Amino acid sequence: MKHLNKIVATLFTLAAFGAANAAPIDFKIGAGNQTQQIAQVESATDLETFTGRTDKVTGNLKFDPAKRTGSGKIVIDAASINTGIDLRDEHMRSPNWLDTAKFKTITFEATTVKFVKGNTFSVTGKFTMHGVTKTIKTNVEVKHLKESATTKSAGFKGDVLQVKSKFNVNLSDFGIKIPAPAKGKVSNSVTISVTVYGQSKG
Amino acid sequence: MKILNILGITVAAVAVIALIAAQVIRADYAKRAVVYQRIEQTEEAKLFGDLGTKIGSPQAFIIDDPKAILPDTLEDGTKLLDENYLKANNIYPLQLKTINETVSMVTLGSALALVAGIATTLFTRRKLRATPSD
Repeated sequence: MKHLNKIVATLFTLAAFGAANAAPIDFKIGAGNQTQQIAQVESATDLETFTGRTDKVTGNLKFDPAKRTGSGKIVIDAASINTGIDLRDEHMRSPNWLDTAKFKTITFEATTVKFVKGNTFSVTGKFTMHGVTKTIKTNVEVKHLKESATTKSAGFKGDVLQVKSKFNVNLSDFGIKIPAPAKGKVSNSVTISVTVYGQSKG
Repeated sequence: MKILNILGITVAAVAVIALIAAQVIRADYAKRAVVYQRIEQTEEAKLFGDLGTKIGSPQAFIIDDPKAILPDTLEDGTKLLDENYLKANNIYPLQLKTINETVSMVTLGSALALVAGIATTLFTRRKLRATPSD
């Protein structure tokens, strides 16, 4: 019995050692089915709250589920953002607004990731829009699923990572000045939110 | 002068009708408006135990198509709009705040028109009374 207990204890120690030293996993966003990615920008005024959205989001994330650390970069195709009204989308892409012909992407690159509790991490990073980069600090929810029959049937290859975040930015901080005719229709403070999925294979 | 007088009365009358109609419309839409959260249901979201991906923040919408409304609610009881259905049917949901702002602009315009109509009527009536008749 003593001998058996020693073996079991050794096995548990080895398993714990293995878990503690698990390597970070690389996840690719947008590798497979693109429509699962959603990046949004919401403007709220007295007249209307509208949401621009796109599924053209790519990126690379690194996550260590054992150590609860991570890093990565998310890239949004600026010209693909759609608000539901063609004329508004056309204006949004124009030089008066996002100028997407010149500034093709909106990006967020994490510089510091700190575990808070549960699935929540506090992330500091560089947010770049309209050619201007600002440091942003936001809470991010991260959920990790190991590869299984269920993840495969959902169309993923390898482990899956879900990342969700939401934060506010001022358009004026990024060199975007609201033209007079649009005052009251577009808010200077907009909410950026992302829900993205990365897979570790493919 | 007489034509101006008639014009003034007409403008004032139309302005009163517009004022009343605007408030009736505002009240009607307010009664029909419900706060919804737009939700896009995907297999990926279900994989992680989510009802779906939230699109925007909850808003008071006027939705006449019951097929656009999902049977589930958020934990706080907020009803859900099916974003997949809205997209497939090219529905851009009407917001109560848009109705309210539009009605406010119509109300302001009608009030100004009413004042202009009354002022024109009174001014032209005085002038007509002052003009000696043959």
